[in-house]
Amino acid sequence: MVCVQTDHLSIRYPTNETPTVQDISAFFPSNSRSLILGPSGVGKSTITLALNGIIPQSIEAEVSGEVAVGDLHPQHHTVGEMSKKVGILFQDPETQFCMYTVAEEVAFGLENLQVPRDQMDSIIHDSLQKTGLLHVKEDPIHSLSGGMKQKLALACLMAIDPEVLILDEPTANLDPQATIEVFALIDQWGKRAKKTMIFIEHQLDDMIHFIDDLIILNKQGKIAYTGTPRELFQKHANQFMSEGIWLPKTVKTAISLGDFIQWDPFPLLPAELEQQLIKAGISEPRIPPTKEQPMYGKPIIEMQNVSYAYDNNTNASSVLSELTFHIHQGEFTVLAGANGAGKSTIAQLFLRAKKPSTGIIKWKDHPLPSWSDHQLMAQIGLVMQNPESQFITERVDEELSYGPRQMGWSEDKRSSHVDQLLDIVNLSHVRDHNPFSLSQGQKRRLSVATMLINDQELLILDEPTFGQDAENTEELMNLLKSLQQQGKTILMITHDMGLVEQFATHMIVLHEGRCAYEGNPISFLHSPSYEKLRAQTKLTTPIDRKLQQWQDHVQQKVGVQHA
Amino acid sequence: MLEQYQTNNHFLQQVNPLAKLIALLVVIAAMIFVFDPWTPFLLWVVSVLMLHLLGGIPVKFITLISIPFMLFGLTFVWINAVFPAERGELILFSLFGLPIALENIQTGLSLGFRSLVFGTWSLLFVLTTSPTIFLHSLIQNGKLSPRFGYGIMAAYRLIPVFKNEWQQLKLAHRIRGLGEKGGLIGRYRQMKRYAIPLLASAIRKASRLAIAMESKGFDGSRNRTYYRVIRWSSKDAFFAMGVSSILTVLMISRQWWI
Repeated sequence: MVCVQTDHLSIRYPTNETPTVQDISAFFPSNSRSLILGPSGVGKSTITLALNGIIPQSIEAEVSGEVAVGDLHPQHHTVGEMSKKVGILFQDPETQFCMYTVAEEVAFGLENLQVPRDQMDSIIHDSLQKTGLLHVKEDPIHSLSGGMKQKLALACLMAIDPEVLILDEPTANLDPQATIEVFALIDQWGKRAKKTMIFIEHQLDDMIHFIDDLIILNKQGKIAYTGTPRELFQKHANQFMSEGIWLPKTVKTAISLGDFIQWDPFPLLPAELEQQLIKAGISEPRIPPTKEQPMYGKPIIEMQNVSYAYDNNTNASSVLSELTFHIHQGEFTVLAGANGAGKSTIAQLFLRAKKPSTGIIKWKDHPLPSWSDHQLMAQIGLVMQNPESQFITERVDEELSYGPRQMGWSEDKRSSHVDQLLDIVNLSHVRDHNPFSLSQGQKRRLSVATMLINDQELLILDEPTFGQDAENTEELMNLLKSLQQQGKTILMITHDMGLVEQFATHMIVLHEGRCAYEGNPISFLHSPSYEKLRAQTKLTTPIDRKLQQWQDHVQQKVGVQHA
Repeated sequence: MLEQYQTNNHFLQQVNPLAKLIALLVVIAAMIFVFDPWTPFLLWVVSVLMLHLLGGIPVKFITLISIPFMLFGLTFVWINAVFPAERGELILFSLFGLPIALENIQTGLSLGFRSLVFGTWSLLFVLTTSPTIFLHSLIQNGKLSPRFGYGIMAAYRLIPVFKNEWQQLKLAHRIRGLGEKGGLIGRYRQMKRYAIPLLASAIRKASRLAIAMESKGFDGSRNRTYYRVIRWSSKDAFFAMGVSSILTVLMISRQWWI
């Protein structure tokens, strides 16, 4: 039972002139769940690192004001003492572990706290059982999926059993199903053990319902508002949006219907919204029949009975078996499937980074091997998960003129092309910066732009929205949509079914190395006949469409009444 | 492959890594003043048998992985026979007009088998010791500071991550029209291009990992308990006795043939 308090806390890094966070006075009551919300890069993580003393003890920074965790002051206690009080679950599953096996990793925290060895086994067993990882106790960590790694990180914290938990975007790198599972575990544990929890999160849809208090930071790193989520969203939602803060989807819909209905209480979950609307006498909207099958253009890529297995795969399970599907010209196609279904492998097959074991891949009616490397690269672009891996020069504009230079364009043609592209991806103001110094969203847009330079016809994007905040995601998706409207073919690998529903015109679902569905995304996501497949592939139906229907339905109805 | 041998449960795998390391050094030291071919030959045979019977490594695998050491050993024979420091008296035959003496061949064989012994003992260490256990042993039984020991273990864990990242990078650059370039300058430029993104990601990962380790209470000091305790056991005593009696018997009995 511990509460956390900060009093006029300001933190400035030695490399910056202005403080990253300023004058933060906040109170986190014991056994409560608080969410710190604010635009990208306002130092939310900085605050949390000050709460367990890593700032300023391990990371140099100028700290003024006071922090208290119960009766401890993180600034004056060792990291070891603080770790018993404050635990952090970080975002990146790859960089939280230092041991080889699952059990050793859970033990690591206990060893640090000098827990006697004869007590360790029962603690490890207990925390692995609660997180559902007992069956992988002796497995090497690198064999786990991203979701399991985050559960392991949670198990490590459970073993240490700190009183305050900080959750710094714990699901940003996870697929939707794993996100739901991890949040459920956090929720259960918090309830059972009465922890004080502090969340930092952008994607609020899966967790806002269990938050007690909201702390909103503005762009200057100061506290703008504090209060309960319902209260703050009801009063200030529009202002939050203009500050670049992402709202839960239900909240957006509720705000847009604010003129028609008096919310009480303000809804945070779709179910709450529906309940109140039905109570107000509005019938549930009938889900209209799915969109007609669009007229497809001619296929640009044909996969015919393609199989692929790793050469060194001794257990002989092939990644892809007998895969057949088409990607049509001018379509926005999405490739979806559970983790490890072979989605990235397909992208690499198209670019001939890998060769199929059997089967034929055709690019524009001709088998892939009949094209030269040069021809293929000029027509197909790949935007990879990590944008940094694509940068090869030291300036943003050089990055964009690199391709045309290789193709032998004239100086004038090059520079006007680069200007135009910088404009499209909104990077003109940073054209002389080093690509590595850009923000996450800027890096992502630059990596897309480098692929546009050769007038590629097909653009393949491998999870381009992973780990990106909402604003960056929206900008990227709008860019892709406008490219599609200009006639380019887009193939995107993604887990985000909300985006699929909104943007995709064609969908391919992989399951156990085979093509389990090919066709209209809306029917796959909403038709009851695919419910089993959706569960198998861990692709959940997004709430966006349902909410949109409610919104249209209400507005229509009220419109009719007014007339 | 390597991992499979390192973690199987034979006798040598259960011996403390430090004991094996010390034995390796003792064997090297014992061989320094030996110049007859029989002593290192016998020791080599015994070492291979140990590796097979006590370490569970198939003879075929030992033979294959020993090929480089054998080639290395042969060069000793060749150099000593053809270009000896001091030519021996008992000329056996002549090769391209160069007289080849028995004594020089014997010295060459001795040195060749010696390098095979060193090679086999290094294999004995590497093939029967998992890196994690070796580091645990260095921290717990040796004097390695946990700060470095756990740091190295964390870095070891990241190797597959970096390998994957490097492959992604190669693909990304190929797509941008940068193929694998031949020649020294091309190689150098390519290394430079790969180095920046890999270093940037390595630094970022390292600092995140350090923060994560510290927030779990790791302070690098010796004030900690151990989940996996690496103890000295009777097996280590058996191992030490075994190795020293092999060496003693060999050193005494070699008086018969020199």
